[in-house]
Amino acid sequence: MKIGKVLEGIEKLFFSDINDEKKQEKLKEKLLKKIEETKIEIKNSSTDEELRDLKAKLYILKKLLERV
Amino acid sequence: MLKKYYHYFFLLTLAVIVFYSSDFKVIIAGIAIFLVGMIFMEDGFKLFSGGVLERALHVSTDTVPKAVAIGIIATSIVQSSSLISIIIISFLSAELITLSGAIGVIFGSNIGSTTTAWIISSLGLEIDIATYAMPMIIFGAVFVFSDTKSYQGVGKILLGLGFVFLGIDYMKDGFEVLQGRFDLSKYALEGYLGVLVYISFGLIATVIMQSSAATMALIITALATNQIIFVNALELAIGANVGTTITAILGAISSNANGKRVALAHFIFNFTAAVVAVVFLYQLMDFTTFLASKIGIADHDYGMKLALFHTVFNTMGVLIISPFTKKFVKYLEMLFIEVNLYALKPLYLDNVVINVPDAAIESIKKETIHLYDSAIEAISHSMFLHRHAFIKNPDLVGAVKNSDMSIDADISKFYTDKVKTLYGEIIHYATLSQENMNEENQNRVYDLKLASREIVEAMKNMRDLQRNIFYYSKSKNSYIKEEYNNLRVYIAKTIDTIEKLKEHVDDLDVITSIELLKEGIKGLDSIKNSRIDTLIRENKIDSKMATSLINDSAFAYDVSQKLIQVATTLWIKDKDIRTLGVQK
Repeated sequence: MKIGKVLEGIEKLFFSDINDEKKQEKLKEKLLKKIEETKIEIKNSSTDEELRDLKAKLYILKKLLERV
Repeated sequence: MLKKYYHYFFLLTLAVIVFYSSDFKVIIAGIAIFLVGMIFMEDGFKLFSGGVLERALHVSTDTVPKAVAIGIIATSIVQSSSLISIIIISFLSAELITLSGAIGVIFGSNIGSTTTAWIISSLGLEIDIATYAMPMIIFGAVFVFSDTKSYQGVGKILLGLGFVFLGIDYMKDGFEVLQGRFDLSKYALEGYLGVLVYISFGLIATVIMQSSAATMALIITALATNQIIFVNALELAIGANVGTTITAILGAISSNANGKRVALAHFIFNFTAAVVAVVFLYQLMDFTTFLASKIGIADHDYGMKLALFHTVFNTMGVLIISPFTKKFVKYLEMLFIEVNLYALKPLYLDNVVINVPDAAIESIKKETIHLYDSAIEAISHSMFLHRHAFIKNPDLVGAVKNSDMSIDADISKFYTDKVKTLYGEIIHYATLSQENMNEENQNRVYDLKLASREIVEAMKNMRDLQRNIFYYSKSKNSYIKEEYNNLRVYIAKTIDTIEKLKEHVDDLDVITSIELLKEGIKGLDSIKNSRIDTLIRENKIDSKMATSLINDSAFAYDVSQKLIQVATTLWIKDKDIRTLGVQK
């Protein structure tokens, strides 16, 4: 058993995944960053088609944020 | 066939030697016990490390110096360069590491494998078998029967070490008895004839025993009992180093392109090191003697001096070849190109990979993508479309509606003749691979199996749709013809969007495209769609057309949904973002 614990320790130290709460926080941050980037792209868009696509993208990103 | 006759010849020769010479019998038994010990050690490390070794190899190969370092460390610990080679080839096949990373590990592994000679010469010859090896074997046997894999692993390592030392002891005894009757050192050869003869002996011995470690054990024990002179032992060691690559090449004959590239790289490296070592043999011998005196190796301890020479000449090989790694990689990548992009036999399901979780998952994913690409070709043809005509075409709608409907493709036959076998292979392989996985990896494999099933079900739905698409394309009723063209447009748009999202690097861009696509195909949901109601009320289509259209809209919606689900599984790398996509 102790050997198993040593291996678990090595795994945690070098290869550990972050826990669920931290993962959700990270995902929210990613989405918020993407939303801000999309808003900037909307401001800088030149064509109607591009603007429409970016607005649709923004809508989806906000929906995804609600799901987190 | 030749291999079979070689085996019979080998067994016959062995039988003759074993039954007619009791001295050689002892030496050969020693080799056999030594090899069994190496196998136990390898198995033990596999059980004991539980994926740590694979992860270490995976994350430490992004630069050549790191790859060399991890090759040295990993091989020194597990005492098996063949295990490291197998893992590296599997990672390379699954494209988890680059060819330059793989070559770096092989270089390092060559240096790491010289630790076997150090262990044999420092401990193996001096060790009191009764005091150390026998307790290792006893306690190793006890631990092997434990319930936990870690203790089983420890048991096998102890058993392995014990058998290795026991094997060395038998070889030593065998040579000591042989010395009394027959002095092999009288047949020592100097000069370049000696070089040629002894390098050949070392090479042949390693090819026969399939283990350079066993050859080194034999050389060191023969040296310790003065059966061979020091310079001949060095030549045997050089031969063993080349011999081990021949074993790898023979193994790679039935392997994929990456296996062949790594085997060839190994051969070129070892052969080059051997050539340099032969040209500067006496200078290297003097350097080894000088270095040995500096690090405290006794002048008469030829075993340890041989181990030092082995390390020095392998390190020299790495130092000579490393600066040319990039050119070397470019050359290797030009070789063994596989051109079978659209064949429906598995391209990535390598049995070497199956017990290495990360690599197995990557293989299954790649093969599922292969299945998806084949299915998309079939689905496109069943709609009487060529993929290149509509994918990434700015006027997709025009391309679909103006297609000439002349493709002769039976999706049912395509599925039965070609896809069914590949699908079966994926499911079989995936199921076997799950045996050695933790829960998270098992769930990932389950998702990939589900994706394969959805691809096949999408194809089966197209089978029903294909008939009516063809039938109504010839209808004089322009409304029904237009509706069926719209179904084709929806499915084509789904395929086209998925092709484009493959190019996104950011998973959030992929999932956004997928979610937008889901919104876009809602028009196929005919029950909620009032358009069909209008066509019926206005008598633009008859009841038979209406029921066909309602059913086929449902099939088309289902096909699109399935392809979208497959795209979520295959092209979103982040597990949490993938999960977001399956929520309603």
